[in-house]
Amino acid sequence: MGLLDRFESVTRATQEFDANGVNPFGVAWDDVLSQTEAMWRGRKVVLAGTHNYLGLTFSEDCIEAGVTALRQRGTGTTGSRIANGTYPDHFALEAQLATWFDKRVCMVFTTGFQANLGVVATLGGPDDVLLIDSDSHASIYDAVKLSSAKILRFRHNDMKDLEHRLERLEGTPGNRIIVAEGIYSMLGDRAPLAEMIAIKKRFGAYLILDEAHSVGVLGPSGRGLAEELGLLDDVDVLTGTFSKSFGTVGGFCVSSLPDFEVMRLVCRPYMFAASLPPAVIASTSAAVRALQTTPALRLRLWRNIPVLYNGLRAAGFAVGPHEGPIVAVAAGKGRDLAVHTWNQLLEAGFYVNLALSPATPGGISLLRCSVSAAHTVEQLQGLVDALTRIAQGNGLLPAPLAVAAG
Amino acid sequence: MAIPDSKTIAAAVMEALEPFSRPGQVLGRDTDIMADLEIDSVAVLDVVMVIEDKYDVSVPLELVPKIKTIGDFADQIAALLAGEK
Repeated sequence: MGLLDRFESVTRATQEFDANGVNPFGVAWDDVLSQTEAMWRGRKVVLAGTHNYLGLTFSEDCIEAGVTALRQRGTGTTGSRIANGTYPDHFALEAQLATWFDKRVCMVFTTGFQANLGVVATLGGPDDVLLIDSDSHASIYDAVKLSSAKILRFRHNDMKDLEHRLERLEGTPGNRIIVAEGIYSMLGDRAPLAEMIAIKKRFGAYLILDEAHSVGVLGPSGRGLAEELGLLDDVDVLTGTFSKSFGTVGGFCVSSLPDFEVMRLVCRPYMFAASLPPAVIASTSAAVRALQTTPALRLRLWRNIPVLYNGLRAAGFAVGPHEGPIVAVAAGKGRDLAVHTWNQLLEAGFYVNLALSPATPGGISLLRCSVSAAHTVEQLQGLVDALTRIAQGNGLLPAPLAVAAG
Repeated sequence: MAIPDSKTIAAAVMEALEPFSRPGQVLGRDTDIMADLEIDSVAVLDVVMVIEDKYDVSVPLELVPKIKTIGDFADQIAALLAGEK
């Protein structure tokens, strides 16, 4: 048997994508022009699937900071921090984030994926129980596989189900660690954090909260869902990414747990991965400053979100339950119509994400759009109009998302 | 309440998996869940939740890959119930 035989269905699906149009998971840009535009096959395309929430990828300050660091400290660190030492800018960024989140310790990881992988896998020990939301990101599903803890999955955002699972554990040893996300990446909906924290306290559990999609987006100073609800102190470990609102790459966690520093010597995705290049650290640090000093970025994002969310809803599409930077449009149960619609939309000059089962909740297909502060209202209105026109033409009747999401 | 036996549990599992069967297919203890049914890995986890609720038992995620057939599924639930009650 061939080594890749078990992926035969994926190989077949890819061949079908290629035969019927463009492979939605393999788009190749001729060039990227700005935060919101790229060239594709000689045409200009509006980027509405890149999670560039604050549009900082082309910020002058972030670019300049990166260029300066690149010249001053070189192209890369050539190794991990435990082996090669830490550059001053890495510590400075960690101090900046720890202060901003009002937590004692911050650790920077090389990707957001690794931040979740490292934190969740390391904190879940042999007698412990990790309770994860069923809509968790792939990094969390992979992290629990790496951990030595028992893993329980609760129904998405269903606090009764979480409570019930904690009750069933009564009398068994080990820490209970709840893992949730501020904004979920598929439907763009938010965790019921206040209820979750009340349950956490009642059962003496811990909470790891991934705010990858909510930092820079929610909260009076952009620190995420926990800040918005005044609950930052009740989050034991908060993880996040630099590849969305901050416009670079990397991940981080912040925590005030006693002895959290030991993670630098026990968390393997931190210990054994090369640290981020100085230029990335410098651009990220400039992006954090931009978030702190320019609330207008967030205001522009929130000016734009309703244009897409309300526009699509008014056109008759089923969208996710909460307004936010991810606007997910239900595109039916099957795969073909969703793939076809996605192709038509790209041809019409708009790039969004296609999400198919099993990556989606309830087995539905989703056209997942993301909004940026850098979008013009005209670009977003253009997307609403194009998608509406295409869907009316090809018979896409959106399924009720709330029911499909279970 | 008496602990249900594997046969009773298997009947409940078959009922929960019925929507994923192919036309005319008869489900049995030997039915291979992933190979024989029209079901993906996430939908399997959702069916596990339905059975967890029915028998008020939690099935740790790490045990799910070991469940191949409907019979395995029922035996696993029976073993968990015997251990927990």
